[in-house]
Amino acid sequence: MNDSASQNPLVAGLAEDQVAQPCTLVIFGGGGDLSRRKLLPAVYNQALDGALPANFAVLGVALETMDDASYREFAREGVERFSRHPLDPRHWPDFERMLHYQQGSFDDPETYRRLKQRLEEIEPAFGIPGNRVFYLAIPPRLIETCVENLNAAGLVQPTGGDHPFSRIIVEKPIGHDLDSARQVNNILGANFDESQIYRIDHYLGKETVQNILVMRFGNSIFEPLWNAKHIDHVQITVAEEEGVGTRAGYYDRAGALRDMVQNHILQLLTLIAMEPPWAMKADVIRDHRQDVLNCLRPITPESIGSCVVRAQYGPGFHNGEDVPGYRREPGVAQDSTTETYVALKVFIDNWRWAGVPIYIRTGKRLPKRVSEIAVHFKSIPPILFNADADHPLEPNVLALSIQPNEGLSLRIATKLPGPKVRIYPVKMDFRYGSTFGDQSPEAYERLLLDVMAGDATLFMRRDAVETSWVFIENILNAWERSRSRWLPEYSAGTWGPLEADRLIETERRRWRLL
Amino acid sequence: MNEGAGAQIRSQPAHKVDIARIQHELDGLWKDLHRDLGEGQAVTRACMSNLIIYCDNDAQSADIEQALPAIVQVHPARVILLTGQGGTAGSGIDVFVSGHYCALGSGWQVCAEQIRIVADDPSNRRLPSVTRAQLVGDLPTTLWWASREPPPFAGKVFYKLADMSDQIIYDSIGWTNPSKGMQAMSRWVTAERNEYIIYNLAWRRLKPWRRLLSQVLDPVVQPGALEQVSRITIEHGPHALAIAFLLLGWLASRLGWKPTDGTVSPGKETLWHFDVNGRQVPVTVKRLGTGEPAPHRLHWRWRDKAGEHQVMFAVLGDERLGIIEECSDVPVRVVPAPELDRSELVSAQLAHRARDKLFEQALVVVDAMTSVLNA
Repeated sequence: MNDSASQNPLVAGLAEDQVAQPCTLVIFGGGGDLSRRKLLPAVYNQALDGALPANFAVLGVALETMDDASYREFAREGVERFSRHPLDPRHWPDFERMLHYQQGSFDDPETYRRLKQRLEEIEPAFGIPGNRVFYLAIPPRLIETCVENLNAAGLVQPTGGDHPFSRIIVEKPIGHDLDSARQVNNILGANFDESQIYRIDHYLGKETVQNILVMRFGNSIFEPLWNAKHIDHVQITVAEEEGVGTRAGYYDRAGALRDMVQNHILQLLTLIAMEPPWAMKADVIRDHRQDVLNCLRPITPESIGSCVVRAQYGPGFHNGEDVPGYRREPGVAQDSTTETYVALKVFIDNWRWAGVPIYIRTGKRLPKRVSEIAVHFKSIPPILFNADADHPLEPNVLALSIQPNEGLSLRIATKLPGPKVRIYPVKMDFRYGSTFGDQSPEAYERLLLDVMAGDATLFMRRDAVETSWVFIENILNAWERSRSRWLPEYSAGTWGPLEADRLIETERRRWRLL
Repeated sequence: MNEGAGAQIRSQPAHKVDIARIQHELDGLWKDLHRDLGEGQAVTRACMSNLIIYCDNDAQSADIEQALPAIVQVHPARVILLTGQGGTAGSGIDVFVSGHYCALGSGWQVCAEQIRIVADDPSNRRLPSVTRAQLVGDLPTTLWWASREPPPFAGKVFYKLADMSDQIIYDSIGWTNPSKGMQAMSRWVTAERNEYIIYNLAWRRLKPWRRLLSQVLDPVVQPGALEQVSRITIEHGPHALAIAFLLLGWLASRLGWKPTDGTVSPGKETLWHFDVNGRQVPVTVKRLGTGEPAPHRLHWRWRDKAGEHQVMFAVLGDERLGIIEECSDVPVRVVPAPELDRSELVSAQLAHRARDKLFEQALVVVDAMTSVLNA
């Protein structure tokens, strides 16, 4: 069932575009914000692009009181506001016929009994052979009850054989520490086979992120330089200009380390640092990414002072307007010690990366929304063009921009025109938007199609989640032990605290000005 | 500058230049743009390919020129637009240069330097040499054969232009003798497939059909539909016989069917018999009197112990395809089937750098199909 190509010769050759298999997408939390802003527009875009299976339906499940008609209106509003393709009135009536809704409480077994009944009505009407993708767009505390009720209601098919497939998509965060992550994984694992579980991190669906592997292993000029001999350091920045907004309830318990580093940033790091995979197969890629996580040098109570800086934003400016500090945000405790910014220096203790620092920074209320990975190559020897110690040449930098403009740039030294040898750094820039013209699909579009096609390459495996937590928990434990109530503060709209500058500048390096 | 396709692209008007000064004049376009924009406005260039386009005459060339802004906006390229039998001012060959620009941040990006070269009939043999000198090095080169003449029938100009190209794009829609053209093209592609990436735009138009057929006839969705097929009918609009051939060629190549005989009723229909696991399965390709040059309906019948089943795939208008299952409780399903215009088809294909083996396999069957016609 999972290997459609072996049974259906007509599928061959369509694989390059993902062969999404006929299925029903069941969205738990179908009436929520993620569904309205991302999931339903993603499905709509796939439909317009002709990428959805012909036999396909959506069933939203949520507590909100809606029926099919009002759910379609809810979806329409989401598509009108957030879709990549504008709503096309010619296609909307056909699309909305696929959308269904069932109201119910996630902890009520009756919800699942009715869900099963509803699916059994919908599937024959759309020619769907019982394949189901369950998307858990729900708070983490509801995962357990939802998964167990799904299984108890007989909605989870075993893998292999001629069974229709059952797949489950779980949103981050997977747990808030190692124990809770293991607990979530145990619950998932007790009810689904690992091959049926898709832990989604939408960063991995972005074009530039996928391009990291192509850039590294599809070009001959980078990989020979991609090691400690030629790379001085790497900087990973994930900056947000927004404050905590409406997420205070979640964020004040999580903080920047859990919210960004444990998932998005460590996943980016694995792609930058992994060894060449021997095949583009899901588990081969994931094994190689896992190797990187296994090699992360643990941050200890002794090293945390020189390797980690946490901070909280104070009052400042955003787009020229006054904005409050974190502790004055609605929903945030006035004595909160939750970090809204974190900077780290990490090392990967393997042959390739020995001694190369990876600097990571992420935070809220920074000057702009930008995510970037910059590989700084070593300086050339201090002779010839680099002989003047007062004016050293700027080293080469390869920067992969993830958002808002996806692309990459390379800084190189060139001679300025004229009789004298004057050297100037220039940037060769490639942007997806301007070079390829077409709009890239949203990350969720790509990832949803991957699930329908059974491709787990861009999803996190259990071991990756738990190893990431082991690394993060060392830091959390050290913070816990320090019992310090003091956090450095940075003004909203700046690039973080002075302590973060010192973290990198003590080693005669600087954060990139983005 | 004129606004082109979409609000983002602008085109400079073409002006006539001497062949020897083409590059100089192109450089001048850059300088003019810098000057017009003023201080602080950057002009950059994106260029992914050389795109050579061959047209038969001025009308065809003008038509293609209209489509170019939309193509280069998606796939920036050095465009060399050739007219083989055009009107010239007596010199035999006239050259015009122009540029297309996209807004990019605070500046502009050149997304095409366009060189239009018009040759009269006696001079068109000189076109390949003029073209060769204008290619940008280190970039893939695509020849878009926009002529109505199937490439193998076109002679030396085609072969010389093909020699400097990595990819050849053509379009079989509108060929005057599609059976003959498809047969010649199939054989030529088979012979040259290791030399070039060869692509028929008609094949890309079939993509929604291929995707839909593969999904709906999947053994999991419709058990027995592929193995127990008993009859197929394809109905197509005028000038779309070649695309119907390709659709059938793809089905036969994927499912291992062999054409055994075929009968043509000129202007109406072609009836083939295919050997399907030792059974003879009739396939009719019918020409409709009106409509778009595309497949309009495909009836797929199969027989199993429960009796005969039929699914019909039909164009419903407004870029939609319908799936109608007869004798079934499954209601009509409708899916979007984006109809890409020529610019979209070409710009999408330009980025493809690999041979399409399915297309090549479909052409091999098309060759076999045309060989058994009225044999």
